[in-house]
Amino acid sequence: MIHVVYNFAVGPMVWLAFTICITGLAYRLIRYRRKAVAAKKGLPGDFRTTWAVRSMLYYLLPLNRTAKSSPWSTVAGFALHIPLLVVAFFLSAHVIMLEQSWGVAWPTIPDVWADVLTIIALAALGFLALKRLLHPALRGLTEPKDLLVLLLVALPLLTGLAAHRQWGDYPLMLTLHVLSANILLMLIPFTKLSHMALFFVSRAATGSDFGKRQVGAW
Amino acid sequence: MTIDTQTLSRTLADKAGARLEMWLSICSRCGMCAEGCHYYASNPRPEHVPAFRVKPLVDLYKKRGQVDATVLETLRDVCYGTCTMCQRCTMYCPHGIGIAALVHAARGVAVAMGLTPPGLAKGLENALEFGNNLGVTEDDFLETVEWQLEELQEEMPFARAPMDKEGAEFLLTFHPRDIKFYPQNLFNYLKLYNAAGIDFTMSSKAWDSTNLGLFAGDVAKASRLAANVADTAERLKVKALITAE
Amino acid sequence: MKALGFEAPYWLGRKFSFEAMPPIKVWADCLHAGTLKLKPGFHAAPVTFQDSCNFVRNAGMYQQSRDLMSVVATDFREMHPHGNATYCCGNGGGQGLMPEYKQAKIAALKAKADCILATGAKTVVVACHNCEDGIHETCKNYELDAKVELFSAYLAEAVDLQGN
Ligand code: HEM
Ligand code: SF4
Ligand code: SF4
Repeated sequence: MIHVVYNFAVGPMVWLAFTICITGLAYRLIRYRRKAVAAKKGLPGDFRTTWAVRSMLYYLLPLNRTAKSSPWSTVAGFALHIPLLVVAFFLSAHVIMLEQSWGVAWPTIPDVWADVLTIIALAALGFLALKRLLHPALRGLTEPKDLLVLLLVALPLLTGLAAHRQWGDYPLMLTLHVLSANILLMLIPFTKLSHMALFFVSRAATGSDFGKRQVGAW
Repeated sequence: MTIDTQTLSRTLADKAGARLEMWLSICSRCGMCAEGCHYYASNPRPEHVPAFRVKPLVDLYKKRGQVDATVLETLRDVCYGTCTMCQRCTMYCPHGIGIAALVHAARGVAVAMGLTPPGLAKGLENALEFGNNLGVTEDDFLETVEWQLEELQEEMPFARAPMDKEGAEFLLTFHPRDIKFYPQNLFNYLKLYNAAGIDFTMSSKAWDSTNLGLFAGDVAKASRLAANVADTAERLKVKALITAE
Repeated sequence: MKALGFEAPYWLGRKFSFEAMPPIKVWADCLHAGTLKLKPGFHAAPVTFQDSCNFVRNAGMYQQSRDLMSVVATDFREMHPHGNATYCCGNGGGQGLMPEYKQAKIAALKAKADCILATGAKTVVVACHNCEDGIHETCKNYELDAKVELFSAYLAEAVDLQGN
C-alpha cells in the first residue's frame, strides 16, 4: 500500500507539483506586469533599475534597517531560508533523483551538513512560531493560517530528517516527506509563500520608488 | 447604514492594482514593520503594527465586499485614525511593502462609500470651489500679497512679487494658511526669494499646491486639484513649481 | 509635493512640462550658487530639525536641509533617529483635519516627544506645515520647553540684506 502511494508521490505528483508551482508563480508575475503596465497609462517608464537592485541587495546582504531593528527575527529568517534552499537544491538525494529523470546534475553537499542545516531551519521555524505565540503584538496580528504555513514548511524538513536518520518507519517517513514537499510546492503560488518570486518584485518596486524620491536604498 | 454593494465591489476591483494585489498576498504578518510606526513606538499594541492597518482591506477582498456596515466603519477608523501615511514602516518591512499606499487605497474605499471624515471632506470641497482648502477668495489673496510686499519693501526696497507673469523660471505656491492665518509666512517666502534673486511668479488662480484629495484617498478629486495647479504652471511656462513648505 | 511631484502624472496620465520642487531645494541651490546670502551662525540657541516625510523621506532633501542648517545655526543637534528614519511628526495624512482621531494622534506623539527631549533643543525647526502643527502639539502635550519655527522663518531671519 505504502509503495503505491510512494510511487505516485515521486512520480506523477512531483510533476504536478512543479507544474502548479511554476505556472502559478509565472501567472502571478505576468498578472503583476499586465496591471503595472495598465497603471502607467502609457507614460514613459521611469523605473530605476540600480535602486531596485540595491534595494534587494540591502535586504539580502543584509545591510538594511530591519536587521538592526529586529535582529533575532532577521537571523531566524536567514537561518530558515538559506538551509531551506541549500538543502532543496544540493542534497545528494535530490540531485540524484533529478539526474535519474533528466540527466542533469550538479555538486552536492555532504549529508551531515544537510542534517545540520535542516536542524537549523527547524529551529528557526520554531523560533518564528514561538514568537508568533508569545510576542503580544505579533499574537494579535497572527492568523491561524500563518502558523499553518510554518507547519507546512516544517513538515518536509522534519520528515526528511527523520527518513535520513532512520527515525521511525523509513518508507512511511520518506513517503510523508515527498507528499508534504509536493503539497508545499503546490501551495506556494496561492499563499504568502508566493513571496518566493514576488519578494523580488516588491522590493524592486519600492526600491525604484525610493530611488526616484532620492531616498535611496534602505 | 445600508451598503451599496455594487459600488463597493466596483471600487474594490478598481483599487486592485498590481502592487495592492501583490502586497496583500505576500505580507507575512511578521510584524517587523512595527519598529517603523510611531503609533507602535508610543504604545506597542497589536492594533498599532502597520500590517494591522490593512486587515480590514484584506477582509473586504476576502469577502468580496459582502460585508455589513461595521466592517466599513472599522476600515474607516483604522485607515484614517491610526496612520499618517508617513511610509516609515516600509523601510522596516523585509518585503518593502508600502503600507501607506495600501492605507491610501483603503481610504479610497471609504471615500467611495461616503465615509470621508467630515473635516477632510469640508477642506476638499473648499479646495474644489475656491482653489484652496481654506476658502480664501482671489481678492483676499491679492490683497494679502500686496500688504506683505509693502511690509517687505520697508526692509528691501527692491522686493517684487510678480503675479501671473508668463515665462518666469519658478512658480511659487503656498499652503492656504500662509495667506489666511500666517501672512508672516508669505513675507518670509518673498524675502527669501527676493534675496536670492530668482525669477519667480505667483498665480492668482492656482496658488495652493496642497492636496487634500491625496490625504482623503479620493483620487478623482485629487486629480482635479493637481490638474488645476499643473495646468496653470504649464500655461505660465515655468520651469519649476515650488511647492508649499 | 507628494501629489504634484510623484502621483499626479499617473493620476492624469501625462507628463508635466515643469518640475515640482520642494522649497528646501531652491534655497539650498541658491545657497550653493552664492545668490542667497545667510548670516553664518545667526541662531545661537540649541536647535533640532524635524525631517518631514514630505521633503525628506519622499523627496530626499536631507542633505540640503543640513547644508542650510549648518550655515545659520551654531548649536545644531540631531534627533535619534533622524533623516529618512525619523519618526513622523504625527500630523501627516490629514490628521490635522480629523478631530475625531485627535486622542489617538496625541498618544502617538510620545515617540517624537522623547526624541526632541533627548536633544535638549529649545527650537524645533520644521519644514512642513503639517509638521508645524504636529510638533507644536507634541511640545504642548508633552510639556517640552521648545518652540516651533518654520524653516522659512528661521532662514528669513538670517538673510543677510547687505550681502544680497
Ligand atoms: C527564493 C527566495 C525567497 C526569498 C527572497 C524569501 C524572502 C523572505 C522574506 C524577506 C521573508 C520575511 C522575513 C523573514 O522572516 O525572513 C520571508 C519569510 C518566510 N519565508 Fe521566504 N523567501 C524565499 C523563499 C521561500 C521558500 C521557498 C519558502 C518555503 C517554502 C519560504 C518560506 C518562508 C516562511 C515560512 C517565512 C516566514 C513567515 C513568518 O514569519 O511566519 N520562503 N521570506
Ligand atoms: S513587515 Fe512587511 S511583511 Fe511583515 S507584517 Fe509588516 S508589512 Fe507584512
Ligand atoms: S505609514 Fe502609517 S503605519 Fe506606517 S509608520 Fe507611518 S503611520 Fe505607521
